[in-house]
Amino acid sequence: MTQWKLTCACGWKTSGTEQQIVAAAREHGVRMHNMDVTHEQAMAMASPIEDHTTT
Amino acid sequence: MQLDVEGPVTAEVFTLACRADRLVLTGPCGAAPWLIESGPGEHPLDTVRRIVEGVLGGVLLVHSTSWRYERGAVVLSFVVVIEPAAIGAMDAAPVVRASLARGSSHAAPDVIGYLQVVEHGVRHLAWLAKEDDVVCTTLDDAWHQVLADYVPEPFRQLDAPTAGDRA
Repeated sequence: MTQWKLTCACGWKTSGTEQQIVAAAREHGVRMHNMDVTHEQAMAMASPIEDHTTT
Repeated sequence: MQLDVEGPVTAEVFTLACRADRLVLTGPCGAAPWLIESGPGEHPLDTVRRIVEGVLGGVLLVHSTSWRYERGAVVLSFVVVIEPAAIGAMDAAPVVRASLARGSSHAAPDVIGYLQVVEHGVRHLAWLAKEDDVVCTTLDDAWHQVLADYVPEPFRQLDAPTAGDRA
């Protein structure tokens, strides 16, 4: 499963699955910035974490 | 007929504490401005107070100090004073002095740096510390000593137009 990382303009960071970072971004947006962050807005700020593991 | 006047408003919070007789900028964003969206249905001051008190401890003062228009929004600047013990693990940086951003008699300054906003905010606090009983009694002696170095400024002084402004 793809792992994502997200950094807010204020410097706050999170990483995890798409579901996890969107949930975290929504909670951060409301708590810290009084913003209702949509799924699309959160993912627009996210980037995938490169997987360097080998199988 | 009543016009529906609406538009985006952003609150910009600068969290200040007086630690070891020096002012420091701190907060969840460190020394950087803490941006809070202000929506319809709630007074911007109530929004800022609610968010700030939900995140920070030891909040002593929440006061709006200036405004400007930037990035398509009205930006309301707030100074929040917290107890030094409430800084905790948050990053903190000394407040450095800055010259004020000055506009002409009919225009805002072209560029306003956030340190200039802080400078104006602290000067505004210096004025309140002399004129407002609540602020005067809320701030301790260390604050009053630091504020003595700031020129009290209730409102931004407008410069008279210069030859350059008229050119």
